[in-house]
Amino acid sequence: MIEKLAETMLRFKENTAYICKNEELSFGELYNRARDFAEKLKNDDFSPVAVIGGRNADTMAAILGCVFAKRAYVPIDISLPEERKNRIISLSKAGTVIDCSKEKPAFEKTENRAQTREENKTAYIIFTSGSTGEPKGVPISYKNLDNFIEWITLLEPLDKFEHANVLNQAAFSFDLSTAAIYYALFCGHAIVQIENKNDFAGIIDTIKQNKPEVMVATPTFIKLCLLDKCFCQKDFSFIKCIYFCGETLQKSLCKAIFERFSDIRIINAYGPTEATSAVCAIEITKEMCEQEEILPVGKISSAAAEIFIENKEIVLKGKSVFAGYLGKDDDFSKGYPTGDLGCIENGRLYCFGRLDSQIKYKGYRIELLEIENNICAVKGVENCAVIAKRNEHGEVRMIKAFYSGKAEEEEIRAVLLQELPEYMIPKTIKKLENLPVSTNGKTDRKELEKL
Amino acid sequence: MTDIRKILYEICEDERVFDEETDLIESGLLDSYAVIELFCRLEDEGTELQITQIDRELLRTANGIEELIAKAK
Repeated sequence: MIEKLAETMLRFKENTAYICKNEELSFGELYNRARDFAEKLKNDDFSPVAVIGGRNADTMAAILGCVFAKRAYVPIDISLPEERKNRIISLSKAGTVIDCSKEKPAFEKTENRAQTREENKTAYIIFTSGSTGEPKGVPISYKNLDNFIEWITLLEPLDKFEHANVLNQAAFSFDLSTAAIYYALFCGHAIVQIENKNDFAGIIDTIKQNKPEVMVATPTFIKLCLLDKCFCQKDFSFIKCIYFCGETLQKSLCKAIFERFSDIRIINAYGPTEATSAVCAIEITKEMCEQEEILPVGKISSAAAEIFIENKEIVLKGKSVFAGYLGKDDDFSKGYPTGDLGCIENGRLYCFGRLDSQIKYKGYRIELLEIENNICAVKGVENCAVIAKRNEHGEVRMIKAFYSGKAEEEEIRAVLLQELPEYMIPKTIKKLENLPVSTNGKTDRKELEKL
Repeated sequence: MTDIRKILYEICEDERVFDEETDLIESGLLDSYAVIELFCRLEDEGTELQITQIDRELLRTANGIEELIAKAK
């Protein structure tokens, strides 16, 4: 994979590889910058490298530098609270930290490095929400990534584009970006990076200026774009395909897109971080929006992994599936149970929701238990429950927390702001005399949902 | 007359929206989901705002949003 990446980047060296804000790099320039990073990383051991970065060219180059140096990269978003950044660095046992959020990338060595003298088989480690209250590391090997790249570069209709611009909406720490980055790099496309997700006008400007033919996005991102009535065929005729992953895609959204863009192609992809970004996908047609009760998330025949259902749960097996969580003795050789409820009908995979308290919010996976554990750890909190409020489509609209005890709401919020990423902080934190209890003695979450 | 504070409260379910000092964006109350809902609600009530053509700073407060609505009329 590494040789092929280098070879592809040099073959397209004159073409644009990366566009972000006012910065534009050709494949040749990106390659050289990545090699510089790799050179600096080579003299060390093979421990992982934490890459703290935003959405900029240096972060991209640092990530590729790790790949060239055969050291696993651990993408950490700059927006995370310091506490969480440090916890991820420590859990991953990264030997080097590269901070790409500064004007000049800063290198720092850590004390707590993994003892590895051999070349690392792990390509990257992404941290997701863990139910114990600690972030959970998902190591993805080169074999996993290689299989994913082969799958996505051959995925119809993504395989039809040549030197296209590909919009990457996500941060590097969110593995939706894995799809955009590696698809683009291996096909000679340019990555158009969205820099600030909260700058709505900026987002539309970036799209208008750089004319991406392919957009890799979450449904929420496209909903935001659709808020602007100009976001339609007339002004954005260059958009040919949207690749969705990371959230449930609703029929209503697809219908709205088809109304604005008559000949656009929509791909709905599915896969957990544990199986390298995505394992299957399906093209959503106008007919499906009429005929299907819920939209399918993939075709079994062209999947990157073996997909089967066990007790209504989607189980994945094969080259794209990781070996186990960081620091855990897992054995997923018989298949990785995703915790997603699903079924297979007529060769199509459908996903209904979760078996546990994990939710999807803003494209991120969140364990409600992790938030609860963090709130319970605050001094003066006796009991707490965190619930996800959903809209009529079943999409999580808001995270709400309820607690009892002496602590003040603002105290809890202040602690959470230091511990958790912004998307995990409950919008409302409400103090109750006592949490409602159901007949079997457990916290009555149904009752809380009514509050 | 659109009662923007009432709408914001219904969307965010948080009393902080009534506090004039609250920065709706900084506080995370008006996140991308809330913005989508706010714009759809306003559209239902007859005010169509174009997200790319408004002054983003005005989204920070309820007063600012009122100003946007007044301008759109």
